[in-house]
Amino acid sequence: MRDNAISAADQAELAALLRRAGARDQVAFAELYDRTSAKLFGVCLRILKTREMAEEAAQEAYVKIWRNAERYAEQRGSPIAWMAVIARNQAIDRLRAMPAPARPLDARHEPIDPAPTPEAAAVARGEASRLQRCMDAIEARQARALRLTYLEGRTYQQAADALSTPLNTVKTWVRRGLIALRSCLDDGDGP
Amino acid sequence: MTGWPDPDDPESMLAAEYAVGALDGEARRAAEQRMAADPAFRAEVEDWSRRLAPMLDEIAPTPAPKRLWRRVRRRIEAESRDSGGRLWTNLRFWRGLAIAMSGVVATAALALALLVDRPQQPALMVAPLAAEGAGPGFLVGYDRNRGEMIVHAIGDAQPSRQPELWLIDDDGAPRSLGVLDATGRAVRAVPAELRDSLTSGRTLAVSLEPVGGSPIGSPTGPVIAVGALRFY
Repeated sequence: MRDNAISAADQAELAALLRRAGARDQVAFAELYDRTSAKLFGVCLRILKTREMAEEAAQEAYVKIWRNAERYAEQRGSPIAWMAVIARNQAIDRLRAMPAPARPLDARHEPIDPAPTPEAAAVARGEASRLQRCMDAIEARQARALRLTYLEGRTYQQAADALSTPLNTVKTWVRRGLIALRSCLDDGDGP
Repeated sequence: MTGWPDPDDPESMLAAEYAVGALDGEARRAAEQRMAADPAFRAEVEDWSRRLAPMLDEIAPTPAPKRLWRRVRRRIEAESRDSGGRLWTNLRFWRGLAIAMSGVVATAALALALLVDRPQQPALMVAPLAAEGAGPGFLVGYDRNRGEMIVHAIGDAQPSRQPELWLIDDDGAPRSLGVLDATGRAVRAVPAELRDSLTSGRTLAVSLEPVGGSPIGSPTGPVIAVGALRFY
């Protein structure tokens, strides 16, 4: 089973490699790439569906990481999360820029419920990901809507189409899901 | 102000919706513009982005094609080429180091100044080699990206002998990094097989050898300076 999660020690090493990359150390950057490319490419591929587009997005992500490595600081979250978000943003930009007919959104072939595989979920939970526990704690349809938008890159309209649900209903699920998630993450210090 | 957004007040949810990726078209463009103009909004988007990022752990990693690295590396190298020259361009650093080592500042700094190209942030390693006796110390600089080394003596080198630079490998064996000239200076590419050994903490030393360097591949004369290589 491929280990999806990264330990605290690994994160410290990645942070050190990012610092070296910020000092223009290409050797350190190469090692950073080796350790993270599968995750970042996986994120791009999940959102863009085709390997060619995923490669373009991942390439751009790594260039952006190289340029901005100096600016990473611990308050920006874990290094791998920082990098993965950069990759996701590149993928989403490309997804949004695609002309509508070319978007790979055939609802018949796409998973309607993009829940994690049992393995990935177990690993994510095993690493004490608070977000995973909170995703389990909120309403299932809210979690499903959040996964469609965040992991699959669907807009409200696309999610509504995929779920055959009215647009406003999906908006409510996403909005309430986001607040419920935040409330859970903040240990219930809610509104 | 960071209050909680209200799901029934769409305006207040924009940052969260942008971060989760639900916005499209006009709404997305408006959010992007607001990100650029409104630091509080941008901070809110980044907060949500950090909150949501662990969800990406649900995506199984997929090994990237080999050619992806080639493409990334070419882009990085092109950018590095464009943005700078050699490692020893940070003149203020060299001056500071020379001052810390000895009172003989001007010679070293001036000599190094002749090599200054455009400034950049290098992958710089340095080893100040302190004199073991009354002789000179040395400054060694190493650019990891280019595999290039510069050595300069601080103080007067002994004219009748040839200084030679060594690294001490993991087994404690000395390996030559080449001879220095009569002034204790050298600028050269490090042989590929030795680059991997130039790691943080590595001991470097200078010995005095016959002209042409040691004939036997290890020091025959006295070691006059020793130091450790570190990242700058």
